[in-house]
Amino acid sequence: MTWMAIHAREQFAILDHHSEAGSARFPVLMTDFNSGKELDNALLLQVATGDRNAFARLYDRLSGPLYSMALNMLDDRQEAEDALQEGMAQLWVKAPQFDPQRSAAFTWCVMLFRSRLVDRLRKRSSRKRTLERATLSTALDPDEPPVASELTDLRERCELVHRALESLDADQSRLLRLAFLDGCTHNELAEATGKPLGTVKTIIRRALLELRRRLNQEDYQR
Amino acid sequence: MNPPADHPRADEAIEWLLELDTPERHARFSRDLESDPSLRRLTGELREILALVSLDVPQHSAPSHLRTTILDAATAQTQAGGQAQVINPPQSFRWREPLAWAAAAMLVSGCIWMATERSGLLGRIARLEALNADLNVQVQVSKNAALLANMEIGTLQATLEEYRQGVAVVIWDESKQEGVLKLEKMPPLSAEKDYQLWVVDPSHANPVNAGVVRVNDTGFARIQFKPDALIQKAEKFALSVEKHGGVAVSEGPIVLLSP
Repeated sequence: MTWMAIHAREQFAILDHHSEAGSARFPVLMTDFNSGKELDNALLLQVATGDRNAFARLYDRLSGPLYSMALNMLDDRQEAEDALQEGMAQLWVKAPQFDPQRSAAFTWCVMLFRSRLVDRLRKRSSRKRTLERATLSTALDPDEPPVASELTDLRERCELVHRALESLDADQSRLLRLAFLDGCTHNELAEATGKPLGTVKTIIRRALLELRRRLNQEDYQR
Repeated sequence: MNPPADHPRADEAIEWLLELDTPERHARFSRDLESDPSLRRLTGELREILALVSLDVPQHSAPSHLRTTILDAATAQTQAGGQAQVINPPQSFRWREPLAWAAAAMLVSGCIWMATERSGLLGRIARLEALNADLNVQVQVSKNAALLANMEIGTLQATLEEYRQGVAVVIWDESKQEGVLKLEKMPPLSAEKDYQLWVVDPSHANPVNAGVVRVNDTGFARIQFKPDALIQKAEKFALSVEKHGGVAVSEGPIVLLSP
């Protein structure tokens, strides 16, 4: 048995006596964990053991942010839905590879999902158009209006991140968003902004450092 | 601890995380991560920060009608990695039974058949993972532990987009210093090029040549290979594109790499 399986078993031993019926299996989870981050970690470890109920719980927590990221990056509702389906299947299949000592569950899921979105973006022939759209604005106007997340911890995280990004230097936040949310390469960013390649790299590196510092100030880790 | 921006490899780490580097550099950085704790720490920190940027978009709920479909489709897949590790310990194995080769060949054939079947129903799921998952199922079902417990079975993953459709399975017997490679759906190469298999072993300065692999018109090949030098620990297997007939030291791009 892998150490992760052992870890998951220990962590969830307390849950084994609960009902097997759907999400009712975890009636105490929300209060047992101090933060959404811990809950996500615990759920993903449980998913790694093949627990479908835990997967449904994780879906309920992460499908919103992942779908929102897909909508923003792909700018196409149908493709975003396809991407969500593909991405969730990936999460299920790869869950046993999750190592909580290397990253938080949310991070692991987002980065795995983003990788698939970037693949889709890079396959598009309309790459240039996407870049132009991204360069002009990161706003999106889908058919469905944005909604405030029903999950308090997630809503707070969104607000913290948005506030921290907005407080960065304009170039830093713009280039960081374009690199991460639009899959733009350094070269594309250099071309779009007219800045030297090295400068673009430096701006993104400093943006990450500064974002980290500001999020720490905001006590994101709680 | 150095803050991320002060680390000499911070830019590389960012490119790796954003998948902006070349496949060769990506693979090299991945290898470095395994052996360098400070690099792992740096990359982990940057990964956490980057992932948070995903929250800086207008938030929408996923369409409710998708929930059941997605959950059913996803959980119909067999999970990769964890269970295979239970059955296939990473240590060297003793492969004394010729029957094991036959069992392995049957497994691989069965898995490919199952992957083909699945692709009709779940076309959006990556072919490689489907094969890997099916392989785990087959291993579990057979439960012929005396034969299978000591096998090292691995899949190679594409490092270049144009090889994403390719499926590669390696079975390696360290005690006999030989193995089997099976390829499917590999893009055809020009007459001046050949695929070449390499074994990465930390005890050798360079990847060890395991032979040239020629695929047929459908991109299929199955070879039994024996590396040129003694392999103490086969950490990874890699497939590269080299000039016709192969080379002593890899020069061309690595197109498939084991995780």
